[in-house]
This record gives sequence, C-alpha cells and structure tokens, in this order.
Amino acid sequence: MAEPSYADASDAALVVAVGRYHEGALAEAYRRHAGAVHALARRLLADATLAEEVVQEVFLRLWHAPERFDPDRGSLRSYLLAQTHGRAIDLIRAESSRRRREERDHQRTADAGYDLEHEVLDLAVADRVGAALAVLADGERRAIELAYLGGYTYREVAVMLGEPEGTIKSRIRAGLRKLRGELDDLVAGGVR
Amino acid sequence: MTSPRDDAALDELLGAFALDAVDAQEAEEIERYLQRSPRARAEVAAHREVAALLVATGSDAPSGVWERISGSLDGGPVAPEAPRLGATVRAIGDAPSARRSVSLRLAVAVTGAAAALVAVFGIQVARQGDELDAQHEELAALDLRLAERDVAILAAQARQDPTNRVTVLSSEDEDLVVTTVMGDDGQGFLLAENLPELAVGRSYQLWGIVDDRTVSLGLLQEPGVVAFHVDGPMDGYAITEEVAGGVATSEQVPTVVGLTEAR
Repeated sequence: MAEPSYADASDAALVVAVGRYHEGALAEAYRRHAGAVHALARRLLADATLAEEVVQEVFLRLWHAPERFDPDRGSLRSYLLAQTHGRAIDLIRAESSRRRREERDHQRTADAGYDLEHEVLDLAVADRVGAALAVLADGERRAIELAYLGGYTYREVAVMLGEPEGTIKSRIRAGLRKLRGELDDLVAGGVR
Repeated sequence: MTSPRDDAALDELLGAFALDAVDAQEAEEIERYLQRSPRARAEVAAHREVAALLVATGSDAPSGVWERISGSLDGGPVAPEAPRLGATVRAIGDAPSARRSVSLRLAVAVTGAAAALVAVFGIQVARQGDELDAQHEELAALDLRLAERDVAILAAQARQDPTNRVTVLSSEDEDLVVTTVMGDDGQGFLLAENLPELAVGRSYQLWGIVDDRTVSLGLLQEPGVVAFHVDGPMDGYAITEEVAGGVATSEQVPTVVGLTEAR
C-alpha cells in the first residue's frame, strides 16, 4: 500500500507515522526541519562535513527512537535542535576538535563575532526575534550568543567576558525568560 | 569534588543547562533534579523553544544528506507494523496526567462490571446476521477511505482530543488492556496492538454493548489499530476471538471487555 501524503500532517502525527516505519513521514519531517538543523550544526561546528554528519545522525535517531520525542515537552523543531546542539557540543568539546575550534574562533574574531539577529533568516520570524533581542541588556544578549551559538560553557563565557560565573548564568536565564515573554505567541502557535 | 547544590542553585543553572552550557557533572545533577521537578522540566523546555527561534530557518539542508539517510534506512532491521508503534502512539496520545488517571480509574471501575458481562455475554447476543454483512461492507469501505491518511495517525489525533470518549477494555485477570476512542460523530478507533497473535483461521470481533444487547462492529484480522463506526452511543465494548469471517452471535467469553464511563 502506498504511503499517504504527510504534507498536511502535524509534527506530532509525523512522529506517530515514523513510529510505524513510514519513510515518507521522516522525509516530511526532514523537509520541514533539516534546514534549521543543518544551519545550527554548521554554525556551531564551522565544518560542512561534520555538520552533515550531525544532520544525518539526528534524523536517524528520530527514525530509530521516535518515542524519545514527547510532544508534551515541546515542539519537534525544538527537540531536533536540542539534539543537534547537544551532539555538536559533544564534538566541539572533544579534544580532537580543539584546534578546529580555535581556528573557527579566530575567524569569528575577524568577523566581529556572533550576531543573533543575523542568524535568524526567516524574515517573518526575524523581525519578531530582532525586536525581542532588543529588549535584552547587552550582557544578557552576549552571554546567550556565546553559550548557544559559540558552544561555550557559562564558566568559559565568564572568563571571556571578565564577569563572575554567577552573573553569567543569571544573565543567560534572565535573558531567555525575557525572550520567552516577548516571543510567547511564536513558541505557542507559530512553530509546528 | 563539589557538594550537591540546593534547588535554588540548580534553578539558577537551568538556562545554561538548556543551552548545553554547563559541564558534565552539573548536567548530571540537573538531570536528576528534572526527574523530580516538573516545574524545572517545563522551564528547560521553554528555554529550548526560545533557543529554537534563534536558529536560521530559511536555509535548506545540503543535497545528498537525505539520500544518505534514506539509503541507510533500507539496510536497517526495518519491519513494518513492528510493535514500537504502541510506544509512539502512547507518547503522542498521552494526555496530561489528569486524563491518564481517569483512564486508570475507569479500568478499576470496569473490573466488577466486566466479570458480570463475561457471565452473560454468550447468551445475550442479539441475532443480526443480515446486518453483519452490511456492517462488514461498510467497515471495509471506511477502511479504504481512511487508508489514505493512515488510521494510526487519526487514532493518535483522536486520543489527543479531550472531547472524545476513551474506553478501557480489559481481560478478566486485567493482564490485557486495550482502548477505544469514540468521537461524537460516531467515528471510533480501536487501539489493540497488544492483543495476542491469532492462529490461522481465527479473527477478533469487536462488539458494541447497548443496554443488554451486543452489536457487531467489525473484525480485526490481527492485533493493531483499526477504525470503526457506530450509529449511536455505546455503553461499552467487547472483543471476542472467533472463526475468520466472524459470527452473528458469539458464544465466546470476551477476550477483553469494558464499559464507557458516563459523562
């Protein structure tokens, strides 16, 4: 029997179908989210080959263990991106990647560092995210940038910014809470 | 080695944890904390939703990656209809804990009634041979329509709808439990993946219970998720094991039976 079309299915329904080994459902999940997964992996790893391996690994993990996604705890997109971030962090914190990371950071210093606003390419979302980021204090924004897109621990961020560790972890938490307050409608209904 | 942090100190780390910005020892501590704190779990989930918005969404994945993924699926131990669906449907369909406790309470409440039904089921089946063929034809046509969307997907979505009625059917010893989900429009789903495999020449038959009558709702050739339709409200449901093709009246003790909780 031919697989049904999943174009109109919700993300939760896609994962149910993945649980039935419907490759078409995984393909639809890939079509919807692989771009963001790849963008995050590429941003963190600064290595095209490694980023593609992470993309492959994340979607194969969804195929083999769909029950790990719990829709009560968030969207499929945030689940896949959390998986991506965790795997990429494992790689860049590994000893073998230390040199690559140093090279990447040197390049970024030359490029004037991270810029959260320019990371968000979806124009409809970018305007909202840009406005929300403007609400953050500079220290909050910088701490989130370095932790999330730089892949640094809060302790490393503290050293880099010359601030106490407690200040950095508080800024990260407070900044995320402010963003949540500004973007709550996007989180609740705008992202499938 | 540092001493364990108190909850307030762990709360301060939740933002950094959500961004993978803590060290391994802290991550382990927080994982344990999340196990016992639903509020902390919700906060981490909220932080990750926000972080997901900071990632570029307009780019496409590089060509060739999907082909590698798809290619590796072919070589894996893929077995369609393997039992992992059960776990997935539960993961998707599980309502918040309040609804789960209702189901558990229902299962307990049905136990006494089920014992009585087991005794009388064999002799209170209405004769309806002509209707049976028509129902089977209707069921086959319905299945064909639903096949395009996948019954399992629809069943999972139906389970998520709090307006639908969930009935728990259990065996006499309560070792075997399956569920039905019924919408106000009469569209129902039987989630019976955990029924025992049938011998050749046998099938399961689903019955609706109305007052002291039973009506055949269709046949189940193997354990799984199927759709069915009813024309009016049912007091409960039962499943018997019958010869392939089903019977007009059953003399069998139900494999599972359950009453629908009154609203």
